[in-house]
Amino acid sequence: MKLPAKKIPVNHYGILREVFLVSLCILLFAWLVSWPVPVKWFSFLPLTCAGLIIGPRLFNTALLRSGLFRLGPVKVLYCITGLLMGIAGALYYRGMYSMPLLPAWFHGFVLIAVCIGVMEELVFRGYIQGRLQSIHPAVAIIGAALIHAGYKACLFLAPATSGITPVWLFFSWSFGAFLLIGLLRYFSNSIWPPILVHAVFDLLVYAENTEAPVWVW
Amino acid sequence: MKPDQIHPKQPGRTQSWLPYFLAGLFLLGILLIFRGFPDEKRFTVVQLKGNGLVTNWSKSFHFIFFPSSNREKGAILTEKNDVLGFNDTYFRYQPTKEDTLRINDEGDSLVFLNSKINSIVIHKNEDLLPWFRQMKPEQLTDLASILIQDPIPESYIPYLKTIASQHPHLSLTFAENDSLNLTTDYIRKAGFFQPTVVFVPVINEEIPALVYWKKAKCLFIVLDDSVILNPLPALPEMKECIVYGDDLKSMPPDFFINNLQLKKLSLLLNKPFYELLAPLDQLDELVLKNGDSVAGLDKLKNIPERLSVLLISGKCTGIEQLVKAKGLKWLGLPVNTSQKEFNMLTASLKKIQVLEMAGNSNLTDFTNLQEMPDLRALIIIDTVTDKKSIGQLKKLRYLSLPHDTKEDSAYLKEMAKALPGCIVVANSGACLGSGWLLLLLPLALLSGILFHKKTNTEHETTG
Repeated sequence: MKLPAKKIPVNHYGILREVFLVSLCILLFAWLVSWPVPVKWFSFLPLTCAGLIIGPRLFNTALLRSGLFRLGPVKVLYCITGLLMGIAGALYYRGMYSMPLLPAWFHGFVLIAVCIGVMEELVFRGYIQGRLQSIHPAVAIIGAALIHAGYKACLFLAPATSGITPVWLFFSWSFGAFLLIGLLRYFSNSIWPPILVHAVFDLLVYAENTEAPVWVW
Repeated sequence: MKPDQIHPKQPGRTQSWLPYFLAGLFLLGILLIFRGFPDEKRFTVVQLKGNGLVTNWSKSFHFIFFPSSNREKGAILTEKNDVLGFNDTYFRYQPTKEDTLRINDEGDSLVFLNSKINSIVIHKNEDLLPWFRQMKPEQLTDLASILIQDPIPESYIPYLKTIASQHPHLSLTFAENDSLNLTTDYIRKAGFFQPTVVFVPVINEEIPALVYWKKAKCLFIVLDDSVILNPLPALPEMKECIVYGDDLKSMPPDFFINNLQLKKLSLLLNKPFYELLAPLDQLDELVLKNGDSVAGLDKLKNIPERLSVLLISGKCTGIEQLVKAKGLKWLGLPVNTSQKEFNMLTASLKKIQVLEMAGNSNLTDFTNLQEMPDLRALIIIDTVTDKKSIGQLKKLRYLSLPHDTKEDSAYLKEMAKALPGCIVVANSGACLGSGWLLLLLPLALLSGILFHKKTNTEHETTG
């Protein structure tokens, strides 16, 4: 049976409720995951809840029909834009931290860093921004950026990680960056450019890391 | 629940120019970043594992040695081509993929670096012949130096020739030997190497003979005489010279007159012979040790203004003159620096990346260190007089504290918490999320598989 993609009435309340629940779960997970064991193990409860809510959406045929994962000539151009954005962001970051602009080596940990970046984009730009888009694009871009920056900030509110970074400053910078990535996702109508931005950024910034920073595991 | 409308508010084709514009914008941004952050001198934190003491002879400050053991890593700051010393072994640092150098010099004749042979030690008590007979070229791929502690046995010569054909430019270190001049012995028997780094003790009469080392890029000389009259011969390849002397009474002002091309110079002496520096107008790095004498920095004139590295060990007058050295990235402060001079220097020298200092009773407030935007490494010897301020330096990547502070485990824990990522330079940044988020994918897939039938049924019903 053909699925009518554009004329179905939108259940705004349902979407908001769902996104709110998932966001709450992810923020709670981020806050708890850096605590020492056994509190750390409680963080997997909200993560599981988020997975249970998001899961059914993965098999929604309309998601695949939406063009989110498709690549056309214009989307390839946006992918190149994403690539350049990721490189520019990483070089600026490395320069600010007095690191050589280009990494000398790539250690194994960088693969995990790239996977984490890709996962974040799938969750925040893919799922959250995608769900909120049907309410209003501005709500989607700002909402996803806020929740993503909140997730990052929550990682540094636990006692084990507090003091590592000035949280408000970190939140503000992250929010600004995620707004840009959200705009890229909106204009390209594709998840690939945001994934490329984040993957390339993490690839260049964490190239020389031989082990994960304390807040990762 | 009704199914949701999928992306109803997508931008139309009118923005087709946008990706070109954005791509151009970010490309321009990348070019600007390369212009804004030129490839400057960068220090590296190298961790060493092995039983012994390690130091960076090219950037020696108060002769600090950093202990390391097989259990606990020692960490030093270095730059490419700096001369590192580990116990009796010297080698030039070349960046490697690994950030830890594992040194093993527990054998009598071979020193291993990251499990590969780095140095061969020629010593009368150790017969190298059995090893020479079975040595293979692939074992020597990382060979960097030969340490000569006793006269070279004639039987070693064919094997050393073989090594020289494979590694003609490795470093040579000659130990002090009261009964025989090892350098003369080497030149007579085995002068087929063209070493780039030479460590050699000399007396005044032997200085002209140093011309033999014409391929040396770095010369480390130990002056055994108290009166030096001869200048160094012309060594056109030499870019770095380290001079050590602990009983010098006089040196000729034209000691370096034949080597004006020098870029890096370390004068590790018992007195300040600053007049030697006058003709050297290409210096970029300068390390000075004055022993117990008080040196007048006014004699340096405008030299500090051209330097990127200046380390001064000992007491000095005229410290305030260093405010003019705006290009300094690595600074070691004289031991008698006052609080006023410290505040003045930290406020003026904004490019400093590495600061070395000796805590003293006149210097008790490090608050001004926060005003140094590029400060990434801090080495404090003697006494830490302001522990609180150090914890505020969130951008620090390397911190070295005096040994007695290291016994204060509570303070160390406090520092470790306040300065995460410190010591290892690559462990910076907080922009990476939690790795456990990756679990979300299998969880969501599992949940999707479990519930997808229900969702599809919903769609079909509504459609």
